[in-house]
Parts: sequence; structure tokens; C-alpha cells
Amino acid sequence: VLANDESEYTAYVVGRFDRWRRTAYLLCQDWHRADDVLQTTLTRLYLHWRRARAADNTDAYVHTMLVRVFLAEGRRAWARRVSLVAETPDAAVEHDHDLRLTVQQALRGLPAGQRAALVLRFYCDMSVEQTAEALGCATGTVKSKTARALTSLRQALGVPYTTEA
Amino acid sequence: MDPEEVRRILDRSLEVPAPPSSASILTAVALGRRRVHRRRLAAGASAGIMVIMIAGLVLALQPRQSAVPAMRASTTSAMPPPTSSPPTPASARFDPRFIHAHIGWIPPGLQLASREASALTYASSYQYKPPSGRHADGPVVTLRLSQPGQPEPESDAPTTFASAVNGRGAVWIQPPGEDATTAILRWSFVGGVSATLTVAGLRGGVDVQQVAHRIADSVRIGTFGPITTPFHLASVPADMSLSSVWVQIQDDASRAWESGLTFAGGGAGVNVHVFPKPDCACGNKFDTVQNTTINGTPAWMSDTSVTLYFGRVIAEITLTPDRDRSGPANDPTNHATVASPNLADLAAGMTVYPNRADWRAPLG
Repeated sequence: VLANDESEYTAYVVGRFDRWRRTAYLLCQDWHRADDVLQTTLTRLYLHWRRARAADNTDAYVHTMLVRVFLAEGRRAWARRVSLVAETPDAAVEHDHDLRLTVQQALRGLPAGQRAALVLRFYCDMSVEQTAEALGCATGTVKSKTARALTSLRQALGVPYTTEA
Repeated sequence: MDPEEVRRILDRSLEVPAPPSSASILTAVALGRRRVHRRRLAAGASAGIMVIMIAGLVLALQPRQSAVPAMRASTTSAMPPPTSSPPTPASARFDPRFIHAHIGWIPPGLQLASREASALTYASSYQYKPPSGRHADGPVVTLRLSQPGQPEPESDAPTTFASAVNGRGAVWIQPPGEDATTAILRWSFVGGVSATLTVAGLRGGVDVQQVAHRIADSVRIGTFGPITTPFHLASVPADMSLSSVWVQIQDDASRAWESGLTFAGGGAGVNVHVFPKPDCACGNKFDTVQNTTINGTPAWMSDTSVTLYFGRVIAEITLTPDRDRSGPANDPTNHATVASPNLADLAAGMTVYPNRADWRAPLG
């Protein structure tokens, strides 16, 4: 990787770091794991920077990397390693605490693939086709995963879901 | 549920204070450079090996003048398997209040980053002190102890023989994708407690396996005094017992430490989380919002949680679902019917100690 590439890489990542970190958190539902996933993704992106830069949609390329790292981590028993906290210490000092806990529990309850489909489709605004490519599955599978995820969310949150505390 | 609604749900789950990030662009660049360098070396080495192999093949195909009799058995027999752990008592448990491993030697410059203890596992990790104002890049040395029968990190990864640790059989764990700068060593102690030591990202180009072995040789298990935390509770909720204790130390400006513990019992749990009020652009999320006072401390109290504002330290005590997810507290609509522990009593007995020199055992 040449110096030019490196500065281009750094400039590109700096502008998107926070957004990717939030995406990783949505996938992992745990900040510490999210940071691990993001770090691995950033390193891989560095190694494949020229390919990523040449992609039609570099952002989608990175989201794909992020999701694949997340899914691969989840398949590895190492994902269970040193859970340094018994419960995630992320509970915020908010007073609509119960609702947020419910939302978090509902998301955590989803299988990794369904959560990934949901995050890519609705947080990263990727199309069904792009999501299918990222997850390495057919578009029909993305649709069914998304539908199942939404059904589970509906059941967990109660229908109709409202954002009012 | 339309897409906008789903987006709102996802956004809501992001409304949590983010701890300082341990991911960093600089680390990615450094790791990336190292891998690129190693690839180039490997490519050069492969070419050299190929030349040697071809030369060897040519020589081997030359007609020999006399056959060499087979005189002895192969000296390259399979590596001996690591010795197995002896049978262990099934009732073995860690006491979550205590430190259960003492590491006699650790590379200079590393300092304690975290401890976590539960009945079945104990873990401690160490990292370099970050430069002022910077975040550390995450643990460099992590030791995890597991009671017999507990899932171990990378249990399905390939292993290779490692020389014994204090006379006990040991293996190197080699998960796919780990590079040569990471060493994971597993061995067991008398009694069957299994230890997994991970060493990664050491500075100075050292032999990581040698370092891992030296650390492992110095590890002793037992009970080495209490885990000290920046808070103390005067009581344990009725019908509950201590489930885990954890503390994380991050020597950076924004959040120097975080700590907590959990109680479980009676179909529910209680999570205690104590942290300094962060210096971040978090809006008014951490401003004191008070609806009561507990022992002179401003607090916000609901059916399922209490938040205490000790000046620059915030403590949250939250009723949580049971871990097996079968308790009534798992039903978010059903909090009122849970035989809730008295969170106000627990909060009234809490004292916080922001300075590390004052930390003490969280209970008792």
C-alpha cells in the first residue's frame, strides 16, 4: 500500500468511522464486540483498499466486509471469549429506560443473520440485491430473513410499536 | 411495521452511551502494514523453498549407487498429545468476590485493564498505558480461567503441541485467521481448572510464544484477595446471591474506569453499573434528573431501576431478566408482578469511591 493510498484510506475512514461503529453496534449489540469487529474490518479494508476503492459502491463494499466479519465472529467460539462484563454496561441513564431495554432485548433476541439483514436493509439503506450479495445468499432469503425479523420484533415490542415512551 | 418505524427502532437501540472506542485507524494501518510486509517475506520464502524442492527432486531422481539399509525407525513420529486433565470435582466454583489468578511475570509496560469473576469463569486482561488523551488499543494479554465443563474460547480451533506449563500438558490454539503476532496457549491446573492465555500485539518484535510461555509459567491459581471496585454495597437483595463482579480500567481522560456486579435469584436479576460521568458530547443524557433523594443523593427511581447521581459518578441499579430467560421479569409488560428486590434499599446502601486508591471489596 503506497503512501498516497494510505492517506486516501485514512481520509475515507475518518469520515465514516462513527457511522460504521454504530452499524457494528447494531449488529453486535455490544460495544466491545462491535469495536473488535470494526477493528478487523478496518484492517481488512487497509489490505484490500485498492479493490475497495475500485468498487462501484465503496460504502456497500465496506458494509459487506463489516457484516461478514460479524457473522464469521459469531460462528467462532471465540465470540464467547472473555465476555468482560456479565451484563453489558451500556445501560444509559435515560428515563424511558424500559422501552429502550425492550428494544435492545428484541434485537438481541434475533438470530445474527436476521439482525444483519435488518441492519443492512434499514440502517445502511442497502437494497435487497445488495444485502443478498453482502450476506452471500439469494434475494428470496434476504426477504424471508427480513420478514421473520420483523415478525419477531413485532411480537417482542407489541403491535403497534410506538416510539412514544 | 413500515421501514421508517424499523429505522426508529434501530435508532432507539443506539441511544446508549458509547464507551471510548478501542478500534482505531492507526492500529488498522499498523496491522495492515505488518501483514503486507509478512506477505512479501512469505512470497520470497516460498520462491526459495520452491527452488530447494526442485533441486532436491532432481537429486532424488538421480540413480543411486547403493541402497541404504533402513537402520532405525523414523525420528519424526507424531507429536505427543498433551496430557489430559485429571478428573475434577463437579462442584468446583469460583467466588466472584475474589481474584483467582496471580500472574507472576508480565512484559514491562503492561498494566491491568480488567477483571471479571463469576462462579464459572475468571478473566483478567492487561494493556499498554495509552499516551495521554489517547485510547488504549485493547487488551494485549488476557488470561481466562474456566471451571471444568465450561465452554472455552476457540474450543473448535486446531491445536498443536506446546511444551508443558509447570509440568502440565499444554497446547497452542490456532484459530484460522490469527497471525503470527498472536499466541493462544491452553493448559490446565490440578483440579481441572482450564486456563487460556492470549498474547497479542506486543511491542518490540518479541517471540510471542516465548512470552506467552513465560507468563503461563508464572500463573498461580487460588484466592488472592478481593476484587476491589469503585463502589460498595451494604447489603445483598433478599433471595439473591452475587453472580458476577467486573471492573474495567481505562486510563484515558474521558472514562477512567467502569465497574459493576450482578445478583441473581428468584427468577430475576439485579445489575449494578457504576461509571464516571463522561466528558463527551452526549447532549444532556447524563445530566441529573431527579424525582427523589436517597440518603441525600439525588436519584431517579422507577419500578425497574434506580439512578444515583454522586456528583461526577453515576450509578445505575437495574432489575434485569433472569439469565435463563424463563423468569417473569423477561416479560417487559410484567415488571409489576415480579417479586422485585427492594432497589431503594440497595441504593441506600451504596457508597462510591472514584479514586483508585480508595477502591474496596464491593460487598461485606
